[in-house]
Amino acid sequence: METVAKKILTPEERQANVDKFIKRWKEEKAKDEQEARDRFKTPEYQAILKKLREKNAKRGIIIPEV
Amino acid sequence: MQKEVLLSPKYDFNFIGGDKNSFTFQTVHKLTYEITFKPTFCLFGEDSSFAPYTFEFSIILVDNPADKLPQLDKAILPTIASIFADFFEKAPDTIAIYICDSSDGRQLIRHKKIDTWFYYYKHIFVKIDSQFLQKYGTIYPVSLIIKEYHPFRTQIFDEFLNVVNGYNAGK
Repeated sequence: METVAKKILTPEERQANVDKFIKRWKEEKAKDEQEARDRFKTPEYQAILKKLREKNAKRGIIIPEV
Repeated sequence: MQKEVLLSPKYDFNFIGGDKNSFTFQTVHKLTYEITFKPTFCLFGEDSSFAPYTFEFSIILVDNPADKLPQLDKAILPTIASIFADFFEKAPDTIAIYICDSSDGRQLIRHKKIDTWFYYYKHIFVKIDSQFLQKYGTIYPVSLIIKEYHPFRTQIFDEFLNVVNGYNAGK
């Protein structure tokens, strides 16, 4: 089996990798959050929430309508 | 204690699905949350054999009409824990990654909360913690969670630690 030697990175290269990873993660997270907030406003989503409120109410958990 | 959390009140939730495997629930304080399990190649890279099973677990506050810091609500953690268990029931080979958001400086509080609910499921799941340290000193706690008896547990943990430690060249 062929062994591929991994390059040992310098501390600067490692830091650059981490910074790049975090930057990309934050950008994607912001996009995902915005998408979720947009989806929340749709009638389909509001219908799901209405059903959830009804289900919760049957168990005595009253969620006020926004 | 475990029994206590399983019996404690929790909210009904709904699986919305979509490309991020979203779940939603609302609280008595009118907050709406989405819990997502988004397929991610960010950590292990597309070539990793673990990549198809890796999902980033996120908790998104979708609507906060009062625009205030959410109040203490004992039903939220059991609800999130139930959603987590529900997803793993559907996909038991899941490798869940959770990165705590640090933009508001509350990352350690978030990490502690995850620890709290994880405690109740520690007989089912196993978690490993590490952190990303950004150039200017901001810490991003990161956790990996898999089923306790995952057949590739050791390899997954090794690869996770290698990546987080920044040894993964060519990302």
